[in-house]
Amino acid sequence: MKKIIVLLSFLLMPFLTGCGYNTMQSNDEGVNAAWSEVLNQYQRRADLIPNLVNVVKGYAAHEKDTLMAVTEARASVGSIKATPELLNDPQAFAKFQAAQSGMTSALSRLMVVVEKYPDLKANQNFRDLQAQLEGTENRIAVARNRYIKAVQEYNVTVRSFPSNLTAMLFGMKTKPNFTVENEKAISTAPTVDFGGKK
Amino acid sequence: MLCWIPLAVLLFVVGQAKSDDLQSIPEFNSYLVDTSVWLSSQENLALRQKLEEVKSAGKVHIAVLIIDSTKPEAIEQYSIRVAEKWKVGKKGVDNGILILIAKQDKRIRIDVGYGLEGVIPDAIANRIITDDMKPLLKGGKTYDALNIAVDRIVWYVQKEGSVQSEKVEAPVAKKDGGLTGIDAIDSLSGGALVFALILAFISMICFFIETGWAILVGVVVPFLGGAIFIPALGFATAVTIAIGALVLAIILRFGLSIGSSAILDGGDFGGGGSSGGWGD
Repeated sequence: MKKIIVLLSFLLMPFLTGCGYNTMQSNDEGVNAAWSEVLNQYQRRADLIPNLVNVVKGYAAHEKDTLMAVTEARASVGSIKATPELLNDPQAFAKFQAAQSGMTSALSRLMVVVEKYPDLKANQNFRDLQAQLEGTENRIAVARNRYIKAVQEYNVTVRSFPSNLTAMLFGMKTKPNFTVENEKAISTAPTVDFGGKK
Repeated sequence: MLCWIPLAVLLFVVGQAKSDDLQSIPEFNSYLVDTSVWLSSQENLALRQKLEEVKSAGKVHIAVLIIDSTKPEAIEQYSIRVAEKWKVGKKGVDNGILILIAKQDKRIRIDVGYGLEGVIPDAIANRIITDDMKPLLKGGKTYDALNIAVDRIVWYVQKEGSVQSEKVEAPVAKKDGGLTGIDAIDSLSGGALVFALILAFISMICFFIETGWAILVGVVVPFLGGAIFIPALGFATAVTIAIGALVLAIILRFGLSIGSSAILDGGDFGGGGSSGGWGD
């Protein structure tokens, strides 16, 4: 009897591979790699800011508020320790996302303001920085998209039956995904007061 | 057991790209694909030849795509899809460049592969578009614009020398199965039989979801397991069969992954590059 049980359990046990455990592991690695790339690109953007602020200052010193907003946004982004562990803490992840969107809005306000200064726009240095910034924003978008796909793949495995049983067994939870926060705020374009400043 | 059918359907649907409304990506059949038939056949031939020569020189692979419009997507969104599908450039080196022109939108984009981001940073790509291509495109000289872009890119690449790929390794999640599964099974020592039985029944359900080559591994482990725990089965025979099946499983697995590799040379893109337009 015991022999039959042993034989039966070993005949059935290889199907363990079908439980999604290994898929979950490789998906998890995919998520981590995609996340590192996202962090990489956000860092790249943050690194561009000091140069940008300096060039704009040279032509548009009056725009102190806008420049200050950009510098402050960069500081708040820099204060968050962006590591892979961020994925396991939804609160920290939300904070990180908020800081980065703050950076994005500060930058877009700056670019709107810059339109007032044709000399600045013609400056080769500024044009190069602007190109770098646009390129980095695109890279961020691509990295985020890839991260979203990776998380989708991972979460589907963790949540669908029957691999969710394995997930529960090994304590694997779903990972956070990017959301569009404050959709209302984003859909209204930022207003720039051209009136009193000059 | 039938409850896995709706799940399979759901996963299939989720796995499909939601791309009904988006522009399709033309098939890659040469380094110049002109779906809007903008260049004359002579220009087409000449440019194609030039791009082939550039590729043979080995330092950079340039592909040109001319289409009517990228709507509803922005040119950046469309071109990264093309770049990810065509995979211009050598795998690992990632020395590909994609020049995309949307004729009706009056937009250009140059996408730079990971390996060339140091050689052709976004600012340079922007300069090529704004300073070199834009005036020519405004004057209707598409062929000249493309020619000068290719020349510029080649010039920058030659100036720099070697090309290094700097991308972060992003492994595609593969259905891994088998080999590490065996380790997981070995770690369950003989004393955990009941636990193993429960797990095995759960696994049976999972089995129908996973890809078919897991079956092969299913042949290996019983024999291996049986050989260790039931000496009566005949150790030598069991191990031989197990090894044979394992070898077959490995060949099948790597065979499958080769089949699913990139369309072109496997070059990767990260979204670097620049866009511009000549519409104003």
